[in-house]
Amino acid sequence: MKDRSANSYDLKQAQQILSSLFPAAAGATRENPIPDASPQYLRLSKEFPSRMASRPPAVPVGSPPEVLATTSEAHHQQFPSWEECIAWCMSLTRAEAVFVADSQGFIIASRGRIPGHGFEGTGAELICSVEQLERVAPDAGKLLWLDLDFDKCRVVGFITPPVDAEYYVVGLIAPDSSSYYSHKQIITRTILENLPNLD
Amino acid sequence: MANILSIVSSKGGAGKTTVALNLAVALAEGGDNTLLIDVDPLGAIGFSLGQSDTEWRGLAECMMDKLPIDEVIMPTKLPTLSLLPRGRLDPLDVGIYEELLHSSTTLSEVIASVEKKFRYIIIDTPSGLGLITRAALSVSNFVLLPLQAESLALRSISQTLRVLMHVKENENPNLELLGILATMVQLNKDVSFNIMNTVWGSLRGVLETYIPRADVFGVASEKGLPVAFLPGKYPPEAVRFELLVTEIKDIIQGLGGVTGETDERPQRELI
Repeated sequence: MKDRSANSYDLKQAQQILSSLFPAAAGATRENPIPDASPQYLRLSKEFPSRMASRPPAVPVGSPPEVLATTSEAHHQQFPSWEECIAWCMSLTRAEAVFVADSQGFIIASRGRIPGHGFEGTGAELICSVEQLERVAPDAGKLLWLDLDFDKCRVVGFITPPVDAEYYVVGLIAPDSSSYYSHKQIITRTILENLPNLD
Repeated sequence: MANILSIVSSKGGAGKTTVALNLAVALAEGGDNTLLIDVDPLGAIGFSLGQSDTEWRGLAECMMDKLPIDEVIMPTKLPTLSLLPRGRLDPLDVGIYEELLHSSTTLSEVIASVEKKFRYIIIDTPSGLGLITRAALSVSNFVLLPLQAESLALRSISQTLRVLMHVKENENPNLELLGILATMVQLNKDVSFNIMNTVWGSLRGVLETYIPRADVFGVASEKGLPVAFLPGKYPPEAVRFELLVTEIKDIIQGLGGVTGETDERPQRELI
């Protein structure tokens, strides 16, 4: 019968880690790090790497069914058109309005409450600002998201990577901050996956 | 630059909040400007001080850009101690709070904006090794592990150590383990005595100071006070936290941290 007394604690791993974290003498180098994963641990991140990358965000209890369905299926979304894509973005982020502008500033699709400057005005200004903002840190690569936090509302833009010098800006007007933050990675991934199919 | 110390344990009930609060008070009473941050979604620091769940704005409001950091850091009646409470977080939004704290730069921005004002920043974390604990470890220089003197805690300590090691190796090389702080110790009870025997005999890095199980902590909790602030005779448990301060300052100095203390003393004459 297994001895369950205090003296039978298996502290081997704890001792190894502590020996590594507390070298015995001053100036002594740390022992080699513990080998990755005791063999008895199941590493979910290795079993499901794609799941770790596209983990559905938590949904508050009491969310309406369409939001629950949207969120749980978020990483499997496929859109044949920009209209469906922005409708999905809008429900996910609870934005007041969403639009897509091409690199010339033309509005391809829009949905929701028209902003004061109009979709065309807002889209055009966002496109103009993208090129200028990329000059801020040219070594940082292409601008992917811009987040403009005004005192009255937030305006967010996702910029797709250019293909044949053509790119799009998906603009979100007044998204709910927590929804936008927690869905940002999913939105990025979903739009990029669907981009070849979107006209 | 501040010494940023997270209090972490995989197991609940180890005394993290009690240690965080009373350690912060002891540091502040010793003259060190100290900030106590409550990242625990439970908001245990506020509860420990007798506040209601929606009493204080704090980190949650700052994270959602509702309030700037200066407006959520609270002074206390101890001039050298400030609090950054959890904020008025709806329990229904704990999942989102966890993800946001982990994925956003809020915590590091908060630390960056205040670390020049404080010598010590103590972070009280929730039980477990999830996103919030990982966020706290990623911004900390030091970590303290309360270990309850009972069997389950000893059996599970490897979990916490494994995460610490991973964070240090892969995410935050500056993170140093100050040590293991035994809590709720009852040397007159066989089980507790045996656990401590094993801990002292088997594990490196166990602090000399330990915190005994004592009724005074319940009394302090009921009154919503740190133990050092209770009326009447100064509790010996409060002295324990002063000893803990001395011990961890010594360790921090040994690790190259700045405590403001000096080892240099002039020669004195006795006669």
